[in-house]
Amino acid sequence: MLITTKRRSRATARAFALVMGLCLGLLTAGGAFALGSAMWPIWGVAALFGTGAIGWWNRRAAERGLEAWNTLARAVARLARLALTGAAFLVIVLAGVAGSHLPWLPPDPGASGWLRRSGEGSRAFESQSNFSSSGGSWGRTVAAWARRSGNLWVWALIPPLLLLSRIQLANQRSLGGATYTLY
Amino acid sequence: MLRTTLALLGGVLALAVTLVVGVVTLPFWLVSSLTAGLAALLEPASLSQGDIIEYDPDLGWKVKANQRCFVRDLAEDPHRVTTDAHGWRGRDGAAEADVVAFGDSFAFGDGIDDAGFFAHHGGAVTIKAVGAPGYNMVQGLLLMRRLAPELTGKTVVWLVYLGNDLADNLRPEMDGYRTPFLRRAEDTGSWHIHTGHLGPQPWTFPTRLRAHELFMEIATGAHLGRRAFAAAEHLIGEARDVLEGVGARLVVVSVPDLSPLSKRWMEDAVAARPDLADWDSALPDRELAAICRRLAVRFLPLTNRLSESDYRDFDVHWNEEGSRKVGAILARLHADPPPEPTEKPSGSPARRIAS
Repeated sequence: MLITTKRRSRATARAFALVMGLCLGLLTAGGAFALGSAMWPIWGVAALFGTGAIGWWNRRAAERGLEAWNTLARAVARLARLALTGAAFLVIVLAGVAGSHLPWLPPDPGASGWLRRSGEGSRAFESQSNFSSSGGSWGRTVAAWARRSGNLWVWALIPPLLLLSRIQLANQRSLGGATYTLY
Repeated sequence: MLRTTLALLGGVLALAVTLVVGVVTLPFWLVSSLTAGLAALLEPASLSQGDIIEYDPDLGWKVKANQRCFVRDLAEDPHRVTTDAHGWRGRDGAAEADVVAFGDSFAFGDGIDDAGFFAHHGGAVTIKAVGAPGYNMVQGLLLMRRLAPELTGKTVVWLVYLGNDLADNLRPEMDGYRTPFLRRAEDTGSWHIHTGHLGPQPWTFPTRLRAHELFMEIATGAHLGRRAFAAAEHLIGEARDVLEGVGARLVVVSVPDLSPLSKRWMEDAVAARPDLADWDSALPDRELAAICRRLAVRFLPLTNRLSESDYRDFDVHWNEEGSRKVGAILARLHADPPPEPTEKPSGSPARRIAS
């Protein structure tokens, strides 16, 4: 989930102005409707076109609006990540009260690239618990592993971690799997 | 069992937090996704700057002729670009213009739509821009020689971008493109244009310093600066001779780098390199003014006529406002040129520099 829009093209500024116009139009129309105004569609359309027109013709205004929106989005993202990380740790701490049930499962001989110089495929590095992902999402992989290993409590971690992985700023794209840093 | 019960309790709390966070972030996700999708629909098909550049055996490279396209700038923002039958920006040729402006990406109108291009804002004065992104002054001089027969009676403006033109005159490459450059003969001290290395293959040796650091080094007045100004004096002197020969009037117009981006770069450079701390931003204009005075060439620095607000935030070039302003300045320059300096050179520039 990209919260911020990093590109600063004219089309982006105009698109942002139109989207803001749409949002404000819907909010204005909804507000007017709630207040019992019979003119609510007109209010909504006026807000939509008013905001959209300003941003369409005045690029600087649209870019400033976009920058302000991004600043707000970054702050919200920081708070959201903090809350989700906190929730995940809460689950771990609560589960940990009952003691650890994470068995140490060393890799089978020959299953790890650290042991054999000939090297293994990336699967070898994902399979240290004798479990190989089927290529689906990591959430499904973790859920299946938790079921097989008897760590059902791990399921509680999946929703916050899933959302945490989706709250990604435009300049914080994660690296793909099997990416090695060569020192 | 205890672990699962406790985890269930934690899971319920975590789920509640997740839901709240999801609801709070949903509008941002919607706005971001809708903006990106709509922007993709609004954006015209465009080319990169490299797509409109081609190899030229005399100049190193030039912009392709008869382009009617959108080109992406440094911020990936497409702008409309039209070039004439020779690859110069705009439709009309130099022969029809009152003012012919030579130069680099500033003369090309980098990042500026055709509508905001400075050459289209001269009012009654027609301006023709002859330049391409990355050109140095050597390429400008070669073009003046090539176009000299068409320049009779015209005001010829030489836009000298202080940010990199002075250093680029001495370098064999620009961003991997092989470029004509000036070399000084060790024995006679005279300058000559070197083109023997030109070719379509990329230049593989990396540049030692970035452009703004070279500029700052020049502006300290140290060795590189002395060489750069000596080279510039040679080029301006040659251009003056070429243009005087065809009855054209040369005005050197210096283009300062006032962009917020460069300002940040320079602040960082000073922090990293204490030897640049005493660089003098006014030195290049002072030196160029002195050179032009010695060569009896008119000189107009844009430093006092432009400000930071005339430059783009994320690029070193003019924004549309700055571009329009420059168009008006050049038009006034044609109608009311700066006074001709009275000091005449005592000899040919090359000999005097060498002495």
